[in-house]
Amino acid sequence: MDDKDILILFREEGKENYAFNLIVRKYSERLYWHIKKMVISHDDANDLLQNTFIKAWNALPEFREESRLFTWLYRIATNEVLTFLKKKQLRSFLSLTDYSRQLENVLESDIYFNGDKTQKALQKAILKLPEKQRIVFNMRYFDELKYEEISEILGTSVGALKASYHHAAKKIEESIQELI
Amino acid sequence: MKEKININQPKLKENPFTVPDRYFDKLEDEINGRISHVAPKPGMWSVLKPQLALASTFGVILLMGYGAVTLLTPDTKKTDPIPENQISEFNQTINIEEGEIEENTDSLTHTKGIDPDQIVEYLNADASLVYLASLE
Repeated sequence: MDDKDILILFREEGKENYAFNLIVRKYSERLYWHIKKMVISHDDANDLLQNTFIKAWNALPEFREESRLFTWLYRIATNEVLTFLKKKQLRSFLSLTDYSRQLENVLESDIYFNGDKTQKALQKAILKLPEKQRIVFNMRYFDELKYEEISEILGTSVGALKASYHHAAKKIEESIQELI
Repeated sequence: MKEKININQPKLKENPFTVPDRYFDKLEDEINGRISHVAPKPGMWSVLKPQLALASTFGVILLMGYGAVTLLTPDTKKTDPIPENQISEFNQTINIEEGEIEENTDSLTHTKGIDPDQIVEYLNADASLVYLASLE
């Protein structure tokens, strides 16, 4: 069932829960990986994903389909992630570098990491990037979203996103050599 | 020298993470458990609609009340002016009445009914008391 049909179903009385379950089933995996690559810890990713869906549930009656459901959900998830990371940094009085080091430690001890040495080096190199650059890189590199879609989600121009991605890719290529 | 790593190789683009067993199936139940306690919030318009209806009802009642008061109260501004001769007649009546009151209440001029001999006797009795007091 496509998003339009799901939304029509959601507006029918007594069908909200059923329609919402369809949305959860359709997008939970994509959103989980988007969040997970930003916060690394499974528990944090699980909390943020659930919060994303609860917020979507509350805001769905207001959703006017000015953007696609998928980009709207991505935007909620991204805002959740950014708010979470800011709180973490503020609470521990750590700078961005220190927090990325903390995330590196989480990655090292993550029992759900199944990759090889090069893949780990890539993840570590990504963690060294500033938050927003990291989000842009992950969306383009792993999720293979179009720049137009990322622009819709983040509210940033396509030109700025392209520049940000290429800058990030260059930095990653440089630091990955040192990490292997 | 280390070989330069091409980040665009397909192997690197693969997802290196996994999830706990049946995580996504359980997730659906967990989210369902959380949303069953929270009904989706009604839209802004459905919140404002009854409040606007209530406010406009009050407005209509106020307008009707104002209209009723305006229609039922006589317009005092439209009363005809009192003619000059009626005003002077009224003033004369007041003056006559004031004069009568003055004549009846002035104690100094009101001497009728008191005998002059009684006055002289009263004054002499008073004087003898003063005299006797001075002798002591």
